[in-house]
Amino acid sequence: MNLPEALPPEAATSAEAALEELRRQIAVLIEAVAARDTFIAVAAHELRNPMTPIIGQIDLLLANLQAGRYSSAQLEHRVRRIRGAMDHFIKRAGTLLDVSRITSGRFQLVLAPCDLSDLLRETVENFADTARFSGCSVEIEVPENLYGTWDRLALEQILDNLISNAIKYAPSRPVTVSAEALGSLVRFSVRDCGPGISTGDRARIFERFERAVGTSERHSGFGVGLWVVGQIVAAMEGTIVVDDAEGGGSVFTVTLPRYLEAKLP
Amino acid sequence: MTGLVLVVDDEFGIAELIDAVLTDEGYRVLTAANGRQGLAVMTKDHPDLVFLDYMMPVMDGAEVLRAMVSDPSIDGVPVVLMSSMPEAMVAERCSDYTAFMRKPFKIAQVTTLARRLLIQSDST
Repeated sequence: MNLPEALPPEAATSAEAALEELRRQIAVLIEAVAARDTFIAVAAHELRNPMTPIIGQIDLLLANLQAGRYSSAQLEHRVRRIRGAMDHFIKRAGTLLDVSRITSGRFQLVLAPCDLSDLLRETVENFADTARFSGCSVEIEVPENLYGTWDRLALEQILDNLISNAIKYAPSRPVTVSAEALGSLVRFSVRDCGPGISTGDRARIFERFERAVGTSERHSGFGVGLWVVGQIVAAMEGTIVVDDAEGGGSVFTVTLPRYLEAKLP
Repeated sequence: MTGLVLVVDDEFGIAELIDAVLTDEGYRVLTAANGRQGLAVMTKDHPDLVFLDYMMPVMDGAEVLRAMVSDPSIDGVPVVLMSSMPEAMVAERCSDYTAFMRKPFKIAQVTTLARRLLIQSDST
C-alpha cells in the first residue's frame, strides 16, 4: 500500500484544527475533574465538621447519665442540643445535594401552596440560639400571610443561607428580615449592618467557592451557599440582588413570582 | 476545678459543647462568636485559659494571637488553638499558642487540656 508522503494542505489544516479542538476538550475535562476533586474534599470537610458537636453532645450525655448527675431538665436540654446539631448537619448535607443536583442538571422544584410569612417567622425562630450567641437581634417585618406556590425546601435553602451569612459576617449587630407582596410577585430581603460588600465583589459572591472577604481573613463555612441561592432563585424564575443598606451594611433582595394561580402539574 | 475559661468559635455547636463539657467539670466558662468579641472578653474578664478557633469571620485565630502578644495585660494567657486542618498548615500563620486541638475532637481531650494548662498556669 502506498501512503502519501504528506497530507494535502487543506487536509493538514483540518487535522490540525481537529487536534487543537481535542486539546481544548482535554483541558476542559482536566479542569472539570479538578473542580470535582475540590468539591469532594470540601464536601467531606463540610460533613465531618458538624459531626463534632453531635458526637460530643452524645458523649457528654452518656458520661453524665452513667454518673447519675443529670436531672430530667438537664437531660432534655442536652437532647434538644443534639437535635439542633443534627438539624444543622442535615441542612449542610441538603446544600451539598443541591450543589450536586444543580451541577448535573437534575435540580427540580416541587411546587405546593405555601405561606411565605409563616416560613420566614419559622426560619428566624430556628436561628434564635445562633443569633443570641453572635449577639445579633433578628427583627422580622412581614405581613400576616403571604400565600403563593413555591418549593418550600428551596425557599428554606435561600433563607437559611441569607440569614446565616448575615449573622456570621455581621455579628453583634441587628439583622432585619422583611417581605412584601407586589401584585403577582413577592419580594423579601435580609439586611445586615456588617462591613458591606464592594461593587467588584457583588457578582463574584454568587460564583462557586467564592467569598467576598479578603484572603487575609479565614472563614469557616462553605463558599457555595450564595451560588446555590442564585441558582435556586433562577430556577424559581426570580431575581436576587445585593445592595448597600441605608446606614451601612448589605441588603440581599429576592423577588419571586407568586404563582397564585397554582402552577401545579 | 477552678478557673475561668473563654471559648472563641463562630460555630455555635462547638462553643456550646466545650462550654457544657467544662461547666460540668466545675470551671466558669465564657463564650465569644469571633476573634474581636473574644479579645474584648479577654481584656475585660482576664480568663485563665482560652480555646481559640483558627477559622472565623471578623477576626481569625492568627490575628487574635498577634493581638494578644501586643497587649501585656493578656499576653501569656495559655491558648488551645483549634482547627480541622492539620497543625502544620495552621502553624504557617500562627505562633504563640500553647497547645493544638484538631477537630473533630473528643470531649476527653477538652478536659485533659484544661486540667493540664490550668495547673501549669497556677504553678507559674
